[in-house]
Amino acid sequence: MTHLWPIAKITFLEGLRSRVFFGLFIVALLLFSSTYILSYLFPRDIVKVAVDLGLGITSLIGLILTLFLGTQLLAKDLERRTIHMVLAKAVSRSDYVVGKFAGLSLIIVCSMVVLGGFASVASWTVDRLTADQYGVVHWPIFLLALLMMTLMLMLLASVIFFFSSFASSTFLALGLTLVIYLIGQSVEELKHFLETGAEGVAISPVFLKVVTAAYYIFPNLAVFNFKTHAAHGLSVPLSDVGWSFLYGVFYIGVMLTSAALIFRRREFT
Amino acid sequence: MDSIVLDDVTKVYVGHSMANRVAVDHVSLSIPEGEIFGFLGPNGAGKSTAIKILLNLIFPTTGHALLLGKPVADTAIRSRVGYLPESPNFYDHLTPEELLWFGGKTSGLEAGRIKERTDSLLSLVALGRVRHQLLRTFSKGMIQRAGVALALVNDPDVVILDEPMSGLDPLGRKLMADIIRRLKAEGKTVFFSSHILHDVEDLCDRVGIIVKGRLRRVDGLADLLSVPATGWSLIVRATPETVQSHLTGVAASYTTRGGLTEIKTVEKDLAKLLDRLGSLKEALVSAMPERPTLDDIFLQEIDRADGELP
Repeated sequence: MTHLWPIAKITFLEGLRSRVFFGLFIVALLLFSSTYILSYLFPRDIVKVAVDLGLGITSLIGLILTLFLGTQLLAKDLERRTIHMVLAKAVSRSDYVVGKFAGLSLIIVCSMVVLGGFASVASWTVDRLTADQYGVVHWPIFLLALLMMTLMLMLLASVIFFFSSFASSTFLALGLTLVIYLIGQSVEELKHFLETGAEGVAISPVFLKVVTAAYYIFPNLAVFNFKTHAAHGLSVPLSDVGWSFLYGVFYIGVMLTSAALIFRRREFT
Repeated sequence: MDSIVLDDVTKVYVGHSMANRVAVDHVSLSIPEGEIFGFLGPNGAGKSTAIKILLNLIFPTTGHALLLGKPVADTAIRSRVGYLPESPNFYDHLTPEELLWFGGKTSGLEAGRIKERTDSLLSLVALGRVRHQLLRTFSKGMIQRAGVALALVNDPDVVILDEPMSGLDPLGRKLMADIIRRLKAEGKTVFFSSHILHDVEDLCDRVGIIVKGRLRRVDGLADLLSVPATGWSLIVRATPETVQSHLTGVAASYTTRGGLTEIKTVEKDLAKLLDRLGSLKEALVSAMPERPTLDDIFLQEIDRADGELP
């Protein structure tokens, strides 16, 4: 792991200078600008709506950016054979995978700083311009929500890397990651629903086992969602934050290790 | 010590629905330090596969490959190797300077040395003035030159070039040939694949001819081309009619071009032909022995392979 920085740096520069990056930021800027107007469409809890909208936009743009740049940066290397140039240097395949991930993570962090900045300004403006009874922005939880969102996007990036390490096409890696994202967002809720049971609904034990297995195999992305807490100013136990953080780091580690192991055996014709 | 070794290397690509394809078939080859080796073969002969095995991009099915005495799987050894892929593709949004920084950094060079090598190499490949311009704005020739600079940034002991002349204009080809000669003068080992025989003839110490995955011949260029003359070609400044009137009864063929007539004859009839030329000898422009060129040898090997191999 001696050449992570050079790989991370060129990945970061390549992603940062792509047109998609700037396109999405312009869209984000327009969406954030509309937050003020949209918030006032609601009769009360204007600040809560503004925070929810701001974090929602940040999450959406961050997700599109991660999915697009994640698949593009790695798949382009394989499709255009740029990877030959990299691996012909004294770069191990693990260096390549982890370095690329570090570069993409750097892009995600920078994007979240900028998008989070936009969301903060939008929420702060609404907060300042409305009367106190409409609520206030709870900044520590707001920041926590942004941090956890960043970790979730990094986890998703590691999932993209995992699928790209063996998928034959960009679309396949993108499609599989989207499926994982959708499962990851809902698996906890679904498991909870099946376990607590609904009156008059017979639940097959096999189906419950499948959902339970999915709960443990697929990433549970709901644990990174603190948007509601931020909007409503709900307190978050420190242990929840700690476990979510450790879970994210562990899952990223598993995905990257698997991707690196597959890459070590892969041939680049 | 040999800089490059391929020891009984075979690469079989396993097909999904069709039969397996043998891309490289029991190839053994040793290239000593300081040699320029030309790896010749038609398209699809296995040249690029052999090169990718040397760079550990693909793995041999059997046999093994060494670079500077170390197995090619040893990542660190590649800090002493330079590689130019065929039709290189680099990161579009990087500049040549950033590309070379990457090459230097991954080869373990210090910042000062990277700067020094970047300056001299970008000037060598005539990209000094566009060093801060994004690669996506470059022409194919410029990309190829940036690739050469990247291959050489770590001052490698072994340089592997996959079709380095393809797609270059005459100026670009001359620049590439000059760089290869310069590497030779510096004692570097250069292994380059090509199907442009003139370049190989011009630059290489030894040549290997690969056809359908099998290494058909490996010879010094001098040995390859030092074969007895099969005939003679005489060029005279005269019309074919005049030539014909002088050479009645001599087994010779004539072709004419731009006021010159070329007479071709076999070795044993040369003395008789010169005798019959008489007064035409004063109009003689040149007399050259005809030997098989590298093109002829190359085509012979392809024909032989077509006859022998499935």
